Amino acid sequence: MLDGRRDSPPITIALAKGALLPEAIQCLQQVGIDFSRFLDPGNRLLRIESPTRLNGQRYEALLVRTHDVPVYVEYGQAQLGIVGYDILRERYAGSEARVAHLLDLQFGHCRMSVALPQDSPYRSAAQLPAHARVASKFVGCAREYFDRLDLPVELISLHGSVELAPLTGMADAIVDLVATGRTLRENGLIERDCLFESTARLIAHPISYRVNQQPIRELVTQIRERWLGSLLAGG
Amino acid sequence: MYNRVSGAEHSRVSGAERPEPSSTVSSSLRPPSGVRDLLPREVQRREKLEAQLTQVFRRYGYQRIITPTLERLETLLAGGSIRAESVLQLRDGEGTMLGLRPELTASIVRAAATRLAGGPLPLRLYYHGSVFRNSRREEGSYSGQEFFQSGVELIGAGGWLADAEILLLLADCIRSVGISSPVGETESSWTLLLGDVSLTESLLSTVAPTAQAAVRRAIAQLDYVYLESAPLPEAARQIGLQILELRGQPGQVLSDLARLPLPPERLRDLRQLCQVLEEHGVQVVLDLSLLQTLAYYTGIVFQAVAGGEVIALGGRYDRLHALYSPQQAEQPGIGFTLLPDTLLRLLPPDPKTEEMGCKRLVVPLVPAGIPAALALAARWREECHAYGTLTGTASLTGMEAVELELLDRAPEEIEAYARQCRIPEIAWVQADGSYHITHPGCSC
Repeated sequence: MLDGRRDSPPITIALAKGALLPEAIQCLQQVGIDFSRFLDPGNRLLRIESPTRLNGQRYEALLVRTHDVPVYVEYGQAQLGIVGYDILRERYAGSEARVAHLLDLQFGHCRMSVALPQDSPYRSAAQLPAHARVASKFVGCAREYFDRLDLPVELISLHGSVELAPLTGMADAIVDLVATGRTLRENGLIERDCLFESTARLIAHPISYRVNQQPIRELVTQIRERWLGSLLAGG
Repeated sequence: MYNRVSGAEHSRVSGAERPEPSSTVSSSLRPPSGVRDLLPREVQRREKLEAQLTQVFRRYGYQRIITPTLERLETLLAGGSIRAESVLQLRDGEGTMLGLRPELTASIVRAAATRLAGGPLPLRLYYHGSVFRNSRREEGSYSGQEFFQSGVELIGAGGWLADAEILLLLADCIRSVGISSPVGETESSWTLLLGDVSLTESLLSTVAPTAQAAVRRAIAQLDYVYLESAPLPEAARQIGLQILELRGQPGQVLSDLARLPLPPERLRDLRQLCQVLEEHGVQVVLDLSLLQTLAYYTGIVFQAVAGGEVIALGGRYDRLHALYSPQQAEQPGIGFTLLPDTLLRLLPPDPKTEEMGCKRLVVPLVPAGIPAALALAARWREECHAYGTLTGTASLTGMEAVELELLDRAPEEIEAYARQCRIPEIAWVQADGSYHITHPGCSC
């Protein structure tokens, strides 16, 4: 079995640039897969292979924008991906997930929340008037949430610095990711309602996983034991 | 058979990939986004694929059925598996809601339950046709898309032997189009994912009714995280996770199944089916978590996978017939559809299709030579038709086609044209009917 795999093609993991990358690499390092080269400031490569193997299986990684991780996995270009739950919720808002959720990796904790200005007359999302303006980078999540509240709002899609929207008066509220809450506070906003909590997830291309799950199951087991185990022991 | 449109299919047919048409073309003269013209070379590839599949279908005794592209909306939705918003809808003169078919199984079962009812059984039917979906694109808007499907329905035969016929037929189809059997290189191999909805539902039946839908969704989508962390009754969580474990080599999964409270006759049937598939060299992954979102399946369900993509899918639907039968008569049914759009993307272009154009160009050198040129072209066409009939080849490929020069061009222009179109022979016809042949040579 091990010999057979030596010649099999590598399993590709899509990794997100940005905040999750160091811990994603650390997590894989715990189980013996080494993509630390991505953290080298001089590195310009977007695709690397791990110099080490897990149970004889080769692994390679793609370095992509965080929103693109599920895309590469959905199209089967990567059999696995590590990405925040927030990104998955946004991509599959109002539709069926097209990737398999294998494991909660328990890092990258944050919340998707509604925040209102300190001086707002409203104390929660439900109090907002109909057709209030809500700015967000996550309009899919926001739409799902306000639909469930049965509150028609005007969603404004922004690409960043969402906290500005209420400051300038463009929006009455925002839906955004909150980690520590510091950015919100400094911009005069208060977190009022939590849509959901998010952590990093290990996702898989469903068809590839069904057809050849064995090496991936071994990887999941290893991550459970060595990464999640060490998180539990440490915290 | 209805397959959910994968993201890959969205972008391939979306209008955004085409170069922007020139602004002088009125937008109303363009095809609607999501549908496309197939140009001659693509048509040749598709026709060849369909011809290969037709041969296999016929070898098993299947006969072609052609059902309407347009059906009453209620016919399309009767099986409970198709959502109305996924159907492109229109209204007839009397206000009846119609839909462009999103799959052919409903139409074929309707025909079998009505006009074909009372005839000899089983019915073995095959089809080639296009289907239409109203589906959500990447950017969130909805648009109509057209796909091709080729497949079979076997109606009036239940039992594992009918299942085996369908799966062996599928395996032969996949081999015939050039996706080799899994023994050998991993590159062009394919795998059969095989599940059984009746077994999976039997395991799920012990889950509290309130949790069933959520557990079923999590299983179908391989959502381990949900099953591990959602606030579910502990028994429901355990059964969900257990079903997700029931995947792998048939021998292993069957022995796991034998320990579960399942109808022994269903297990025996499944074991026999897996054994036949193994004897015929089909690589099977038995997967009890293979629950397609289709409500109408009642027995085995399956997907053929190559290159990480689904190339065919189907299953058994023993309750569909009664829905279309005026007497609510039950008939077992099973079928599959191949996805030619995906198959053609995975298969390398065949160099032979490049050579399927015209073989001879007949040129009247002077106006007085026209009758002789027409006669020569007619004689050659007749000859190669006879040859083709003899060998059974020409009708499909048109490989001995004869063209007539119509544009009265200068000889060097005609030679350039012949090179461009890869026509190997030009016959230059004189007024007296005599001719000589030149070979313009290949431009490549």
